[in-house]
Amino acid sequence: MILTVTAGKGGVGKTTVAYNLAAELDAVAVDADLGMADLPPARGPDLHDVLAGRAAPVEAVSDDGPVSVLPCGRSLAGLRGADPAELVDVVRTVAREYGRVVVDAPAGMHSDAGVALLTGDAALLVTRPTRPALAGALRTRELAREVDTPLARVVLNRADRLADHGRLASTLGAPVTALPESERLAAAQRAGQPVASVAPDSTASERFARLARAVETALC
Amino acid sequence: MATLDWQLTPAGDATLVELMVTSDADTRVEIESSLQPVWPPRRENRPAAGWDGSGFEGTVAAGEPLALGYASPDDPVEPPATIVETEPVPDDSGEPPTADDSGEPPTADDLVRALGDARPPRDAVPTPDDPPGDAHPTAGSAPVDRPPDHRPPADDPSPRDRSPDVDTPPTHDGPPQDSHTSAPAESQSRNDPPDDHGSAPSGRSPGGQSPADRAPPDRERASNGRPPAEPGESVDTWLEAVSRRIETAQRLAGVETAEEARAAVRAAGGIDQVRTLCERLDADRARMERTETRRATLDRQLATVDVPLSALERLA
Repeated sequence: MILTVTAGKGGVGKTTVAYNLAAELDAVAVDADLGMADLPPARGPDLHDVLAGRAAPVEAVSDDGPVSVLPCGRSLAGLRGADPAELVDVVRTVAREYGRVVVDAPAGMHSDAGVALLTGDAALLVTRPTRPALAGALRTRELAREVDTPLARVVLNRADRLADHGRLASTLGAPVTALPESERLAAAQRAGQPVASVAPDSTASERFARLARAVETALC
Repeated sequence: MATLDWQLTPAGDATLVELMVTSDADTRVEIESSLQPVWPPRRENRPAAGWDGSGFEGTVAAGEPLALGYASPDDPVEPPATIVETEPVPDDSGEPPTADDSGEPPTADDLVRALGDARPPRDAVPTPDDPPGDAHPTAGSAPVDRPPDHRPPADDPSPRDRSPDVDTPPTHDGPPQDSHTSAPAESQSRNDPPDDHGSAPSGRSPGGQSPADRAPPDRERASNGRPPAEPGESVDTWLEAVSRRIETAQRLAGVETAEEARAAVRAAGGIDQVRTLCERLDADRARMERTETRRATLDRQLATVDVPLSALERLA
């Protein structure tokens, strides 16, 4: 199972959702944001090395942290040497070995965002209740349609109300899960931990568990 | 019925071919080049849509000629290409056909061509070999759509980035040439195709890697015997990767039962990954040997070098 977590613009909480969802699903989180990696780094080869043919996909997966991660490098030279089109085969290889993969895709409409969407069996679109974020979500929804990747779920991050998002769901064409503004979630992310580890009784933790169940039902 | 018209232009060691395909009905055509190998037009470092190793496949609309252009290191021959297959396009959509109107989901290469390569240009990336303030004079001074006869030597380590990045016949950008239409073209010397262009039609080597992304042997030769400097890879990263590979290899070597062997192979990502691991370990051994030679040289130099600091301080 490969789930691509995507967004129309940066800064909406895509990486936070991808990391916590990977924890709930016991999946490998692949940091496919080749130019602005944000998942926790790890020692050893990274996705830049894999996409440049210097390391095997499974070799670059780090099982040391609370979530298995295929991290991405931060250097300009690494980005230059990485072929984005190789991502599809790389992620499929990791999925064959580990079973479940959550891809943290780059935001925007460039080919790296398109290839990350193409990689997924389904996509999860993260947005915020702001005009620019929703406009970006609509564009990304269209890009997902172009590459034939179904939208499994929409996450409305930092939502001021947690229920009744029917209009958004019908516009984007997928059920909406709202996540509240959460200091505990932000603190967990800063510490490189899933919120379920540090605040298992929080609303955010409960929402991620529910989200994971919904994704499992949709994809498995 | 699709018809083909052509024009051949010698350009240094290459031949530039312009094709004009016309048809009175919407037709899907497959065109095979008599000149081999084909150096197709490229978009975003990849062969343009419809091009493969031997020619082009796409759709020509009724009354709208389809113009194609490519280059080849082969000698000019008449005709330079032939239409090997035609198939009428069913007229059920009401939309004019396009070259990539196959109805299939795009491939990753299609997406990169259509949406643009998100990577920084080569000129923007400093390499360890750059002298300060010198950012790739070769790549920076060359026009993007330089004609083939101006291509740099075959040992340039950046083959993909030197290819024309436009979807127009390269003749448009070339210097004035003697052009020949429907007549035997001037015979010219034939050179072996440089490795980089030889692999250009598919854009990737059989191993799935783009030529520019691997360290070609030329790069090793050009670096005065140093271990190849992989872009983006520090020595620490490489050593860490070697360390992980050795751990995996030790696990594979330590199996005693068939069940353990199966589990170890599965954990390594399958038997193909084990084969790849063995190849990488061979490459690691070779690189380690080169590194050791380099280290020993540096060690000797370090032992003998002595900066006369006090004298220099006095003179400065």
